Amino acid sequence: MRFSPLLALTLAPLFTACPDLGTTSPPVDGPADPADPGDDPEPEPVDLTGVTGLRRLSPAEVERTVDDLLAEFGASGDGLPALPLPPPNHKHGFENTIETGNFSTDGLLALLDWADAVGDAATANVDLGCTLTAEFDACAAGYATRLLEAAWRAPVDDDTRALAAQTWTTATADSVPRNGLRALWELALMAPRFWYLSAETDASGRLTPAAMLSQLSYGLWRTMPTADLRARRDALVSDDAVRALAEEMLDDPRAEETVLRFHRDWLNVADGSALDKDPTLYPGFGPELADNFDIEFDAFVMRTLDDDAPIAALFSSHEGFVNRRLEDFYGLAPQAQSDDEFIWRDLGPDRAGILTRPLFLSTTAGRGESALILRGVSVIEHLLCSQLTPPDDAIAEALPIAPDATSGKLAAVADRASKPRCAACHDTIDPLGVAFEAYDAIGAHRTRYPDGIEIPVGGVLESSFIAEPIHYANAVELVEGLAATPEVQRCYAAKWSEWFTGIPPNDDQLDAIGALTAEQSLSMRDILLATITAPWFLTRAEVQQ
Amino acid sequence: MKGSLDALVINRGRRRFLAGSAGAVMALPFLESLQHKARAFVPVPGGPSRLLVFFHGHGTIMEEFVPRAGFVQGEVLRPVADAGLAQKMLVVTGVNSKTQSGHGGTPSVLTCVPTRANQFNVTHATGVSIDHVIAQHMQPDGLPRRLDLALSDESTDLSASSLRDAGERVFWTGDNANIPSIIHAGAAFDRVFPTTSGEDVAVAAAKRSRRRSVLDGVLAEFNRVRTRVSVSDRERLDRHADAMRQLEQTIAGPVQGASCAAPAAPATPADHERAGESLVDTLALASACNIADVGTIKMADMEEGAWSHLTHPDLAATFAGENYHGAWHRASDQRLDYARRAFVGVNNFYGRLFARLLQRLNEIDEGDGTALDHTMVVWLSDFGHGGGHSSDNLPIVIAGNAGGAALGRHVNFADNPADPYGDSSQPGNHNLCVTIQQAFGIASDRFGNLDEVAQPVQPGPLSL
Repeated sequence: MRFSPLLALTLAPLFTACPDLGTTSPPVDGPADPADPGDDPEPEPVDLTGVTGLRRLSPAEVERTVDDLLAEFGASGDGLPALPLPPPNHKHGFENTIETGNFSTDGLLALLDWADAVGDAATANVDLGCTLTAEFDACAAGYATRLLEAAWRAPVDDDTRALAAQTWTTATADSVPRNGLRALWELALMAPRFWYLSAETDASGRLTPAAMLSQLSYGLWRTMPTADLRARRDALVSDDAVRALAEEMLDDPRAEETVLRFHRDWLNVADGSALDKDPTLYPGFGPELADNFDIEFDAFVMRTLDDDAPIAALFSSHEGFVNRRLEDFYGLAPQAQSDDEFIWRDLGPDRAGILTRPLFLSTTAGRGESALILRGVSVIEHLLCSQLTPPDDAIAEALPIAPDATSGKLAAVADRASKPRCAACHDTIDPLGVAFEAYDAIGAHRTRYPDGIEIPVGGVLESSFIAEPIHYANAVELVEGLAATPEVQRCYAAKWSEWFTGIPPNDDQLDAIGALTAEQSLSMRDILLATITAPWFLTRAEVQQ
Repeated sequence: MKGSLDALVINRGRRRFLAGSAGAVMALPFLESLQHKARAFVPVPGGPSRLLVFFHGHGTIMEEFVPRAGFVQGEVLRPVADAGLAQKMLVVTGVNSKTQSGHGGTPSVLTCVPTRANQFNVTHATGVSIDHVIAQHMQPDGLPRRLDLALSDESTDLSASSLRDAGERVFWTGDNANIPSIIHAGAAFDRVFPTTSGEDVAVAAAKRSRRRSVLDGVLAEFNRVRTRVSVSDRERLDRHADAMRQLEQTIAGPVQGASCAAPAAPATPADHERAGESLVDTLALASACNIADVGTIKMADMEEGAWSHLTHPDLAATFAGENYHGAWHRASDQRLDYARRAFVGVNNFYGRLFARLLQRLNEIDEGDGTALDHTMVVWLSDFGHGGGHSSDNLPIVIAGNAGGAALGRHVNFADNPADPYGDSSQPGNHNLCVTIQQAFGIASDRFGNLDEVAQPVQPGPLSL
């Protein structure tokens, strides 16, 4: 493998916060030399090679991998203790990121207990078709090879076999063969090749077939390569072969789960069951409606994939998957037969795309009222790929506080606009948020606040985040306008790239993504396949030893 | 998940509780007279022999934290006075967190080194926090012995993982190596008193042997993998492997007979208040039994559902449309006094848990004083004025043993310690950490990075 200095660059935000204030993206090569301002610097060569960086499996990936591993060995993960790792914090992006903290000794101790429990479950009823003894004979060696090849997602070489033999021999000093099996499981689950996703390359910088298969499997299925996939590993030596396998994998239900996970993580959308709303303000909200929000959100995402629709439809489609309860929620005349029957319907002029679905709108709200700033920030961070810097102490202190669930929020918006230090960011955040004020804390459409004041949802979005201003009369026109911008399309594809590589694309890669999404109307499937066959997925920069 | 015999990090030199303490649910052991046994660590004469850190995020309502004239306590520390322990604490105000302000600076509060942000703007420390420096200092040839607990939203949800990266990240073993916390009372108890009953000695020995062979194999794997990755990834793998080596040391260490008989395990807590009490009891027990040289407990992840019973009835209105972070901003707004009072209620709860911790330690007679007299217990937050997210004028208490400084006093370094913003000439967290390290015999008058700071820092301890 080779190392690329691009790693450091790609850790910077794609855009600097609040560029309208006059701040700009950090210079790629550092500041110009003031002593020689007239020099015309050599243009930097475009580098689309993937960055080299070990990505640790996320907790969800570990759990899915262990479930699959146990299933492959005829065991079940039912009743196992929870994986003793902190859950990922979705507020800060995808869980499958290169940037994760380090293990502590205490954490490893808990993991060792967990691995012990997994090994216990895996070896409770083993039928190997051969007789195990305390010796590391052919029977034990066969088991070790199968286990380590699956868990470490790579062919087993002589060194690995020797390691397995040594572990086995020590563990079976008491002549109990099962202790050897359990030791092999603990070795499999505690080793770095289990925890870190391989990005090993051949001499040309291309991922080895084993690494390629692992990257594909975790990107598309969030788990280890199955035995079927492993049997096809050695064929992954051409771009066409990678694409063909990816197309097959996309048709598997596991890819559907990944697509849904991606969209929930990307938009930081909670499960409906986690929503908590004030029952006095929203007496019609309950677990059933929240569950329907979940179903509708997921169905909407999957339809965009299944229909091979242009990605703009994700942000602009008026279609919704509704039952009788949701029809009532949307104010539609009933057509569904019951709460158990879901049908596709045009939701009317107040809904367009994923940002006007109640699950997103309920997530970006408190118990009683919509969260104006959060919705604005969500659009900027999730659709325009810009990281906003939280206000510093002085600004936070000066920020006007909205007096709860009324039109007083509009006064706070005006107050922020009148204070230059607040306005630097909030001139962009707040108009976006105000447009979404047309939806209350459970996502129901409204034109006025509870105190009767009309919500001024129209406006013009002018920002250096987008090339052309968007004039809109309401949130629907805003999201339709955003959907048509190259910036949003590029950001969406960039998010998929981040999902697959564990790191946001660098400037060169972002330019390449932008060129691709500007050229043609791509579907979600197109974007997925384009990402998988992009140089930054297929190759890695040289490792600096 | 149940612990195991091997999970007991160190039980060498633990004190012996008299048999028959089971059934009193944590209380009985504290009634026993325990002899202070010599250990490898030799305290500074009159200095502390253990360190406990009690941390809560988001600051406090300083007007209720700062003692009034005559050392009369406000609402936050009133429980300590009510427990009759005000004379065993030193309240310190007017100390600023000087490396970096705001939430991004939280990892620097006890490390005193610059933070680094990842691509999602989440910061982490780039060095070791004072608690771990002390833990390493006390076991120079072995594994640091520490117990890290947290009370979080999920402390009553036993389906959640017990080991969490809960709340503010203030305790670090190194660059980007945050120390997770145990959030469940039962798991914390198991960590201190692993379940060994019924486990055959031979089985336990076989398990230890198996684990050693596994860890040998894992470390061999690290050596193979590290040759094929970049320099930065190699450093990351090395940190992982170092933690694994420490784990191997732990498991390889001799497991001696328990000298602290385990009391009955705590009942499953019915609510967060009970969970907090149980965690505090276990922390005191681990400390008094010499199982941990350093212990920490964090108050983390406060959300309305878990805490509303502690506060003013108007809390629900406070939180409408806001999360805890936003509600703190509201609490600073004097026009919304009910919100301010709500957070006084939460901070009074912290005071009750802190008082309980002191009380538990004070009930243990160690011959030449109580366990509290031999323990430095530090209360700290990352902010002073919670609503302003100010890193100035931190709320600090040093209780039990302040390294020779007289207790029962208020030491203030600010013109008005309740102000959101202090003066940059006030002492800082660096000085607090020097105070702590010198109390434990580390003579240096510097801690952390004195150059890369937001406010100027002077070497030396706090003038207490």
